Amino acid sequence: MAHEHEHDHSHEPVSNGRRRFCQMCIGGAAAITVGTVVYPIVAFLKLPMRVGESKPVEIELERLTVGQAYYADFQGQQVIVVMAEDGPRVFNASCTHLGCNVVWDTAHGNFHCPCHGAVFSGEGKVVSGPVSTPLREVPFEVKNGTLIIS
Amino acid sequence: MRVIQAIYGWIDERFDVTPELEKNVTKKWVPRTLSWAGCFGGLAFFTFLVQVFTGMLLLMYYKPHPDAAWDSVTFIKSNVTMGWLVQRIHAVAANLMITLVLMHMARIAYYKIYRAPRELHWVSGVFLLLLTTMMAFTGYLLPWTQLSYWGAKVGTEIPSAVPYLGQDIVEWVRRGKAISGETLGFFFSLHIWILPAIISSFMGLHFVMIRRTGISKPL
Repeated sequence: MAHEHEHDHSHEPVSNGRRRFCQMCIGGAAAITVGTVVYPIVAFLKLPMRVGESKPVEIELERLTVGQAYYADFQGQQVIVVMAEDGPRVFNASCTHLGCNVVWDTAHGNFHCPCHGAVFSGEGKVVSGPVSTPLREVPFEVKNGTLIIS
Repeated sequence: MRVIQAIYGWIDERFDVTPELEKNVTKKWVPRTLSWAGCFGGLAFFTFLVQVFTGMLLLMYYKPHPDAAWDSVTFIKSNVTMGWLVQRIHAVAANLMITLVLMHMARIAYYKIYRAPRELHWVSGVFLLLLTTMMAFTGYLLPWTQLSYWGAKVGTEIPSAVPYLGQDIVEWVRRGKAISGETLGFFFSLHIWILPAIISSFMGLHFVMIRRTGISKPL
């Protein structure tokens, strides 16, 4: 019994170094594993790059008829090109009331909003309906007979 | 860590989770005689879960229409971040799942584990094998490549060998005389909803049964 007493270490302070090291290794490996699963999923959910989204709109003036409208997509928004006697006008199709897309009424020569019945003149001015602001004009340039919105 | 323990403690106080967890997970010992080959079934289930989650991700972009299907898969592979990885995992894990199911079955057959009282485990397992191959077959058509088109054509040709009804079955499966957009839509609905629903219920049965009888322990 005296012999056993010599090897009794129970009163010495316990060093947890090895245990801590093992715990850290396991924790680190687990973190890396979780990371390699979570990272691709988060990356996948990110908004993907769309090809040709911010391309400028190009329309040959020859294709436009007086009194007719031409619809195009520009930076995710619909734009309407209307050919008047004195040249083309370009409007953002989004109604200034609540943002529905207005449509060109060839017979009356004005814009109609399908949602709440707003009417805008061919110059984009308010004619009737629940609106007070005219349609937003979109800047454009004409180069070599081509209308460019960029 | 302390926060997690506090939350767990709060839930445990109310729902008494710990004894259930101990009984089913932390203190449920693996029999000493069980070899690593006993993992194949669980691994097959794991690949199924991988398929479910990668499938959900792919579904965000996939378009089941003959004009758009191939483009949408190409879009996933080249424009979506990590899309190539998710698409590849879904395709490779499909092969892996079939391999694991077959290895699981081979072990059960070799050790004659299918004998009483586990006959129905085997029967439900055979259904699960068939459902797994159906999942693979319907999924194969969805990218709408030359390979998938002709693969579906050859595959749907098989029931024509059935006497009298053969040609009718072929047309029923193809939703017409030839592989078309109708076939694509049908296979899509099978692949993402109908078959997963059926396969999940068979899996549920399979797992409930093995919990009731316990696993077969080698002598």
